[in-house]
Amino acid sequence: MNTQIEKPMIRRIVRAFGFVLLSQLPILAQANQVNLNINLATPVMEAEQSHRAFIKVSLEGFKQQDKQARIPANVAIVLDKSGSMGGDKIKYAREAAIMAIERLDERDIVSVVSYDSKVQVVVPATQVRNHQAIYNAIRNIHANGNTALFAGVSKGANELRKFLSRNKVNRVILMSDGLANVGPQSASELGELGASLAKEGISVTTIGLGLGYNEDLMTRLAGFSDGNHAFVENAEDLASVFQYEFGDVLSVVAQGVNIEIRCRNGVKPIRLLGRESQIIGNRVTTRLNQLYSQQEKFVILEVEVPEQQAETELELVAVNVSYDNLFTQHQESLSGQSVARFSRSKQEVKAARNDKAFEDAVEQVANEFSRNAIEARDSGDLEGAKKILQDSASYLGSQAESLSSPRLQEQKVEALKDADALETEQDWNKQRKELKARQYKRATQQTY
Amino acid sequence: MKRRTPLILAVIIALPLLLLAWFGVRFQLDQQQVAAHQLSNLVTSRLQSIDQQFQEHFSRLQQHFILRAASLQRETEGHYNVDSVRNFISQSAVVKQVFVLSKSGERRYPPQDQPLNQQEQDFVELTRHLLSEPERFTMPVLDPAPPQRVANQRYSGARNDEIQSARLSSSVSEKAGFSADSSISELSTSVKEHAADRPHGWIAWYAEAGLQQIFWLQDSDGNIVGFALNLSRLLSDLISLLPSSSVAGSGVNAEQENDSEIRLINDRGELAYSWGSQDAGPEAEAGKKPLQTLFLSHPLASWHLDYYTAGLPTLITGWLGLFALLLLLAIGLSTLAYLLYREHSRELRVAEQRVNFVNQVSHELKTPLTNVRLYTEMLEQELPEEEVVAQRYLGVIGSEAARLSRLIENVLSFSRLKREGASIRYQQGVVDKCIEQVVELFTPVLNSRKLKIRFVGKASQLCHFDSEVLEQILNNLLSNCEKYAADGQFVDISSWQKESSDSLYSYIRISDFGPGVPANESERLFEPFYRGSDKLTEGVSGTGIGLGLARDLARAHQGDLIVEQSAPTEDVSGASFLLTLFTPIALTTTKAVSTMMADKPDD
Repeated sequence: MNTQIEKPMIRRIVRAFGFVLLSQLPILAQANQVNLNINLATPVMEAEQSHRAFIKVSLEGFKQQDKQARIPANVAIVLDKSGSMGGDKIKYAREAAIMAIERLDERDIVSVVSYDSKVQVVVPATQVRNHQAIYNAIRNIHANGNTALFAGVSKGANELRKFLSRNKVNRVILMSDGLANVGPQSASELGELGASLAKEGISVTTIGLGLGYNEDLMTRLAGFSDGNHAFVENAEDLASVFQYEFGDVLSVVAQGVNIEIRCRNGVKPIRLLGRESQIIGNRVTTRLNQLYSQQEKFVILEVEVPEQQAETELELVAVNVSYDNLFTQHQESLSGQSVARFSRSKQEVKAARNDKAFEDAVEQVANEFSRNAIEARDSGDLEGAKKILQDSASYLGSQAESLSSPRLQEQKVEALKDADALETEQDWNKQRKELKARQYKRATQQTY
Repeated sequence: MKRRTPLILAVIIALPLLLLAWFGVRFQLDQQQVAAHQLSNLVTSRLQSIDQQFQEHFSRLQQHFILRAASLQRETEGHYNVDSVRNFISQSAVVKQVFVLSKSGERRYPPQDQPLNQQEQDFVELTRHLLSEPERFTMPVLDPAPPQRVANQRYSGARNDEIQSARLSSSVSEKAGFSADSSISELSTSVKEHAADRPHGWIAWYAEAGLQQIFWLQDSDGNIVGFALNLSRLLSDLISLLPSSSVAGSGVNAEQENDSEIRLINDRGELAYSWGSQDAGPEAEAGKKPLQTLFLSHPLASWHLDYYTAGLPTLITGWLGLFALLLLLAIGLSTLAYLLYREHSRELRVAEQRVNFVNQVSHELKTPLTNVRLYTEMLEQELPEEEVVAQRYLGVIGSEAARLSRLIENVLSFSRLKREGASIRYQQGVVDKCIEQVVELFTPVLNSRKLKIRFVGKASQLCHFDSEVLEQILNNLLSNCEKYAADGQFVDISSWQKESSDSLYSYIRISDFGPGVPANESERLFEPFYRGSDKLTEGVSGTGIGLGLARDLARAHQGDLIVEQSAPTEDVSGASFLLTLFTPIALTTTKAVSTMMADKPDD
């Protein structure tokens, strides 16, 4: 009897203990592991009907234990010093670079490259020991000449390579205010370069200054290498942007993040929202160059789900993520899956809806609309572009209501404003840059 | 004379200057050519070294690809399954796309039976012509020049070398920033060795997007594996190989020339990268031609390097140097010439002063001498005949005084001749009479020297001549006879006249039997202040202007005075002077005709 009583007791104790352990595991893991969440916007779907579903795959960088233990940075600052940078602009750029470098210390490597028609290596890759010498070199930069952007980035990347390491945050920070007019100058060529650099673990952050730069080129370059992109209208704001950027650089916790999503059971991938991706058959792959401390990065995958019987469960996708953990200095991998349930009850469907994931999905969809609108506007179809944005706004509006989301409401107002902005001919250049930068930030969940 | 000196001096200055300038310019031009040649050699070698660097880059890529192809083949056991290849592409920074053709020319990758991603679709579209002709991949193309140090090791069979080569290639792949892959080093060396012997090559191939670079090789199963390069990345790597421009205002790249620029031009003729001087802005030389152009080697054959330079500053200093040298020389020579000229003119002035002084003195002597002669004559007439001694003394005084006055007359007319030329006053008279007068005057003097005058006069025609000039000439000739031919006993004087077409010439020959004049001295006798040989003039006083004056006068009289070269027979020695005078019978003009400037002393 005794034993009969004790057996369940022990089992209970063991189970309770196991539960405690299991519940502690994520916390322990969170200390030095990236968090992978796979959320289906509609976990319960109506049966006997095919669906389009959004799957949000999000990754969150763990918290940096303390400031001292951060990852060393290997940064190349590439400054445009073409003639158009003359006057205050170059002055602010210099000061912004100097203020940014102030945050670095001996662990870090910095190099400064400036370019006009030609490229000058102002500060070759060096440990940040003698701050003053670096500042003096930077203060020597004066504006003159053309814009050899490609060569500038090439040389900046080359400086990074001198100390290239998987254990460092390798980043080129490109600041430009003009069109590339020496050497390769198309967005696709720069994008190709960005993609190639990303394979080496180098990301390129592009900061467009003023209204003269090519936002397509700059966002492509940043996008393919998963850097940040910012539009800075006034040179005075460069310093804060540099500060944000260095804040990001110094808070990287993981690099080389490969996300592989395999669709199962006849589920078909339609598109991956926001980021460049490869879709081959039922396999979707994308890549993030880095994860920042306590920042959530996500991708939204839109899939088509075939008809299912009621009260069944179906595995939609299996996700594999691999990344370099900069603290443990190991390659780690995570995996997960997303399972949908099918029901006839509309109420159940509604109740089960994951509002957060759905909100993010809607945001990305609207962002995609916004991109299409720019394309339409570029091809001269003003009315079409306007229509797209208006549709986007009404879509956002209805979703905001059903989700009661103020964020989407805001985005709707934005979309309507953008629709108006499409028409203003003289301001379009600026609007386009702002729009591009905003889209980029939304798509990559950039913090600034 | 006075105008000639500066002329000569100018020539002295100009000649060496011109010569030096000529040679200097020639030298400079040669130098320029040599410098230009050297520069072009230098530039060529510089550009070639860049080309070599590029070749090394391609060679490194080739090695890398050979290794990667082998490891791919090994990993997939010769099947090249899709996931492995995609994985390789996603990791390799330099490769854009890979293709695999089977032995029969069938495409194995990108797969034909599986869905392709966007990039692969684009690539297949782009390369459909290329991939449909697998025979392109049978002819091996010349390898890019490998890095020097690796060259020997790659093809040698020795095992040590192979290991070294493997190490090198892994370091090379790191250097070039290719995706690090540990599997390469695990690869057996024999695979690598064999891979190098199998057909492989680079294809530079035009597609819509420009020149595509493809490296292909045959694996051991006969499959063709091709690697298409990421062009942007290729250019970026090439740019990284090239130097950057120096920072303005700091000497970071001191070894780089300041005023040259090298440009890398791609297959579309666009500027891909340039480096070098800061000053030469691209807008400055829109139409400027490069100093030198070098086309790169395969596979970048349609690319070229242009070398621009601002100018050749070194040669300007060369010209400057030459100019300075010439200037210095000109100044030096001018100073020297000026000093010489000053010295010379001072001497001239002093000489002139001396001549003036002599003239003055002679002039002052003339008046008292005239008085002496006058009173001597008066006394001679007053004195009774029987005072023989006194008469004889008076005779001596008279003849000496006459000689003195002749001397003075000579000096004065010499200086007058020099100063203003001779003026001839033609008067009517008979030449013989004039000669007789002179002979009469000289007879006592010559007698005292035991000389006897034998005069044969045949010039008795009335004509016009200047008797004073004639007298002076004869005086001079005869006093020469007295001085130098005293032991000749006789002085022969003969005169005749010859009429030729409307004019009359009178000839007077004066011959002595003294030592004579050597043939080589006959001209110099007439130079002023020249006095025959030492032997002759020894112990004889004289001014040395007599004969010259006589000839100048004769020439002024449109005649001449020459030394006659008699046949040098031993027994008949002595000098013979022939005087020719133009003695017109009637004067066509009332005034004196000829005033010849006689400022040619050596004529």
